[in-house]
Amino acid sequence: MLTCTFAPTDPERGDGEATLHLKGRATIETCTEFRDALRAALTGCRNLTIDVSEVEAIDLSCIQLFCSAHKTALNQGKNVTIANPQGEEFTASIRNVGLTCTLPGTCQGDPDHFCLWGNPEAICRREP
Amino acid sequence: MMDQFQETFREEAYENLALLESALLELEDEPENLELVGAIFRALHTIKGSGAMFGFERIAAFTHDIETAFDLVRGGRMRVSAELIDLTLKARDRIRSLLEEEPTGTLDPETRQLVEGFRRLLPGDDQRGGPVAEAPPEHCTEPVAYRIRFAPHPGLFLSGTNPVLLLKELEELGKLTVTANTDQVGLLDEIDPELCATSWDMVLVTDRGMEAIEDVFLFVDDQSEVRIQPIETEPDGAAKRLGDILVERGDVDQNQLEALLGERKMVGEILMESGLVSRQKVESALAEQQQVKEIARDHSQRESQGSLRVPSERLDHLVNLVGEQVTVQARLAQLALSLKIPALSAISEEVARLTGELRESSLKIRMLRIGSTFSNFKRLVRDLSRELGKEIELVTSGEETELDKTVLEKLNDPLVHLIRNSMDHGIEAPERREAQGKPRCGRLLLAAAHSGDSVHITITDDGAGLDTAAILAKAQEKGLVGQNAQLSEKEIYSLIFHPGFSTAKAVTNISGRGVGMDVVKRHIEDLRGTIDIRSERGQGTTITVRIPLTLAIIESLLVRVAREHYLFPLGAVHECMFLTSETVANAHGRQVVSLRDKIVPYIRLRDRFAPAERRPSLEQLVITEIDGEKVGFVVDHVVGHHQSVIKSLGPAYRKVEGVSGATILGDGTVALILDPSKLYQAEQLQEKAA
Repeated sequence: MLTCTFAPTDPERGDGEATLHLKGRATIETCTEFRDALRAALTGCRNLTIDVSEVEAIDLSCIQLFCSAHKTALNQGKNVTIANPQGEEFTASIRNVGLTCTLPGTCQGDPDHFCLWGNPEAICRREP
Repeated sequence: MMDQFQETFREEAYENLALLESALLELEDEPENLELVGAIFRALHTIKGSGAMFGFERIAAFTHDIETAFDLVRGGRMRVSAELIDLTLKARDRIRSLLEEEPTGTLDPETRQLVEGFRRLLPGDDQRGGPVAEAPPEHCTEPVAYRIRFAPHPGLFLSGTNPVLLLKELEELGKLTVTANTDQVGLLDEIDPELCATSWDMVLVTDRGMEAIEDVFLFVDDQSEVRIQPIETEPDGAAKRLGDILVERGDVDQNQLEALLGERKMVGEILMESGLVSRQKVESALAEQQQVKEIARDHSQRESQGSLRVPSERLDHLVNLVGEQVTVQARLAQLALSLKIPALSAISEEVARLTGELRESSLKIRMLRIGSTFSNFKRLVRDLSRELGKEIELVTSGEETELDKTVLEKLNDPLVHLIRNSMDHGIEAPERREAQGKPRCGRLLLAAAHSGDSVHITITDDGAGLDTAAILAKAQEKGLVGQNAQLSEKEIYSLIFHPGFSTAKAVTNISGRGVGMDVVKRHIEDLRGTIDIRSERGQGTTITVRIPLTLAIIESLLVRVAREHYLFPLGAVHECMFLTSETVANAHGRQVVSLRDKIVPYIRLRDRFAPAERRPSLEQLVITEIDGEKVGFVVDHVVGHHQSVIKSLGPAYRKVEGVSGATILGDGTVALILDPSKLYQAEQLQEKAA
């Protein structure tokens, strides 16, 4: 089961920053609801932070959705980052899939942005 | 500089040719052995590749066709035949000759004929002579880098396959670098999260072969794209350029690449900016480049760490220096003994211990396994059997026995002669063997074993054995022995070492010219060795060659005659005894003693080296064995065991009979190393002349 909680990061500031908090298993069984949650979250903010601190498991179907969300955000002039990816389960899954990027640029050929997975352990670590 | 590289190539090519030959001979017995086929292919591939790199164009061109044939054998498209092995052995000899010839130019008629021979052997489609697609060996020991592209069918998740598990399986095969391509992942509005939109580019360095990689993808459906390619490394081991990798992978067109390369930027950057390839594709190509660099680095490190190629002259120099040190240490020991200073004695003992270890280690560096020489004989036996129309099997043992490099090199020719003789004169024709109730196939056993500070090499055949009557008749005919001479079996056998002696009725080009056995004996004696024959009529002959382990330092027995010291090689000494004036008187003027009821002749070294000096009343007798007979040498005093560094005599003294070298003693004086066999022969000649 995967619970996706969306909320503005700082409701008082109203600066379009929002966080999507994931809890549970992000796998093929829950990927459709994860996609829908991402769609809704991106519509409701400018900069989206996905907090993965409580992700218990993640598989390729949901990892692809992170990429999809990142592409969509860049397409709309928005941004997506990942927060708290330090869980061993999460980082190992990303590493195992082969998503460890060092070069600038995205898979869409956008040279001005880094890939979402560009050094996730260092770049994307953010306290909630 | 190029000359130096070419010389290194030659050295390595000789090693590869030796490997090739032994693998071919083994393959002849085990034609289904794919490991041998792989080894042959690799040897040929190395010769071809390095040949081309160092300018040996003729060798590279010639070897290509042989390699093609073995590539087909590896791929199961061609069978190992006697013709293929024959042709490859001939080709191996030809490559050896080509190594000594001008490296470039056109192929000579003989080589072209061999090439045509190989092309005729190829199955129909492959007779074109062009290059054949290369696949790395299936059971290779060297790691090979593979480029793997895996683009799963979108429905992969639905079939229950987890692609990450496949990647993990690949990781178990070797060093894996994975780059996921997510460029096909769509936007949130269009993506179906249950479909797989990710593909992978991987580089796997493994020694498990292509088949093992294919097995990982065995259960992936047909609609998925799985491409596995061995990565060709550049001939000089350099990593490929990024652009070339991407062109090879089919990610970018050669023309597009060239058009963009006009811009002075990093190629990866240019390609990404142009939108021709994604960042991930570049990333993956960079990973591949890195992996290949690492393989090349590992390879060169392994080569440099595993062994060190040192010119043999340097080793000779080292052994000479150690020899000098042994001499100096002996002087130190003597000084310590005479001065009786405890501290000096302790140092002297320590130096003696270290010198001993240094001597052992430095001599060990020069030691080579006799197996390499034995494997050369496999070819000799194979070719000669055919030439003689005989069936002969060569069995070897003790290949791990080590001998000094120089000794081993000098031993080759005498052993070839002995093997030829056994095959030609000893082992009978198959029909004759069958008629005698023997197996058709003759057996030649070549064995080596350590015995003290010498190595015993025996050549045993199960042939006809020596015909003592024929040998004696021939010797009498040639006037070597008197008509009524009564000779022991051993004495008759020793006649075959007489110059010009041969009992062969017909002179063949293999042996029978009577130039062999005396030369063999001389060569063995030059190595301070001995040769001994045992034979049984109808059962076979065994020839035993005893060779000292090294020519540099020998264990010897130090003796004194008058004021001079002499050395007997310890291997030749049987025992020592006193010779009293009473014993001398009882012999009534004949120089013989009775030793355990056997009459042993003796020679006085004093007569030969110090006739003017007066002999002591109690002398000592050093009993040696020469050609199976005991012979004594009378000396004034037996000093004891001595480790002697052999110094060769100058040209003026080289012809002195009975002296094989000299050594320097602890007190700095020179002692001659005696050759008992030559001394005895010289004495006999003198007697005859008298």
